[in-house]
Amino acid sequence: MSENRVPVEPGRAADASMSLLADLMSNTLDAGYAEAAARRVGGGDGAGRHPRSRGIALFTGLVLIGGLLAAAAAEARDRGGAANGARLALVAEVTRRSTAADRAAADLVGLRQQIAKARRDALALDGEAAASAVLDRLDRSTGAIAVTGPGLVVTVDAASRPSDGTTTASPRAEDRVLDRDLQALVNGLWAAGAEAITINGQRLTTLSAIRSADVAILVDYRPLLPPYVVRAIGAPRTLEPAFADSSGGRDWRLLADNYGFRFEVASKDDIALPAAEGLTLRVAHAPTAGGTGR
Amino acid sequence: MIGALGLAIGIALGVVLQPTVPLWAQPYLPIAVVAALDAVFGGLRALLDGIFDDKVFVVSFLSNVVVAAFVVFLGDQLGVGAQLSTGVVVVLGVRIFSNVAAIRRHLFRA
Repeated sequence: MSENRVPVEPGRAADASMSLLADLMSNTLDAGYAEAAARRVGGGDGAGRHPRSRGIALFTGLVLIGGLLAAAAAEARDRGGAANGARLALVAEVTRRSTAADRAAADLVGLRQQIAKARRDALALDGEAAASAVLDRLDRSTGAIAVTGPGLVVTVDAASRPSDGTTTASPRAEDRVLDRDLQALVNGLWAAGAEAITINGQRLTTLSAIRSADVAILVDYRPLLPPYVVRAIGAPRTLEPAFADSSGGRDWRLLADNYGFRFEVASKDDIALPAAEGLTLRVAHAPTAGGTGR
Repeated sequence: MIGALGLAIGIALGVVLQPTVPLWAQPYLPIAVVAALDAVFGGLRALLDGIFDDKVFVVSFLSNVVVAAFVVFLGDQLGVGAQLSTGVVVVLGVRIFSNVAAIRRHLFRA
């Protein structure tokens, strides 16, 4: 086994091939200084430039360096601020647009009320009181206009088990209020003669969907969290017993009695329900000539 | 000392005036800063070694900045901008460290 040894020329350091890195690490001072010093020692630099102009050159050079460093520092600080500024501007824009959208929605509701009133007046002028009454009833039950009146307030929630230490948002589906529970409740109220229903302030229309999504229930794609407060406007004396008799009322009575679900029914004298947002006109046809155009 | 005064005045001017760096120069600003720092520390070490020459200092500063920016610009054109920029920063950083160590040796005899 012979050693692998590279023959080295005499007078050459063994690590000559590393000269680049070695030079980089050790000769870090500009060679110009040494040369200038040698020149000064050797022949005196009196024939050089006037010392004043060199002083000025040095001064301006240092001013430039200082300016460069300060500009870079300001630039670095600014860049962070620019990104934050952009984010804040976007947040402000989002807030402004949301407020505008809310205001537009409120205007929409007000305008619908005006239209309904104008329509009622016009029909009254034409002597079509019956049609006007039908339209009003339809407006109320479809959620097109706001309604006030006496009715029921039903508060439902899942069973809370403080002794267990668990919260009401139990991971098991059977322990939560499900969409079909709310659907049964609402259907019971409709069947009992309710004229307008809201769940947690969300007015129900004829096309409203009540669906479960994890721990929340989506009503018209709006997530609502328990406890669910269902307000219904209807004839005060008949609504409550009719609801208690309905299948929805009985189902909830079962849930409350057997599983400890929260089910409170209270009648109130004046309930104000807002109109539904986002009602869109889908079908319309002109009346046939000479008829009432039903 | 004219040198420290000039540097201080330059920094003060930069802070007060807040010059906006033009958009085309912004990518080369970090390299220019590192090159300027290298020239400054080289000058300081030469001063402490007793071989300071102001002409060499000014020329070294200007040429360092221009050459570093040019190397990065060339690298950008060839598509190796990031790598060349890293290389330049590494070399200048090594020089800065070495000069600072020499300055430390002068100042603290340690």
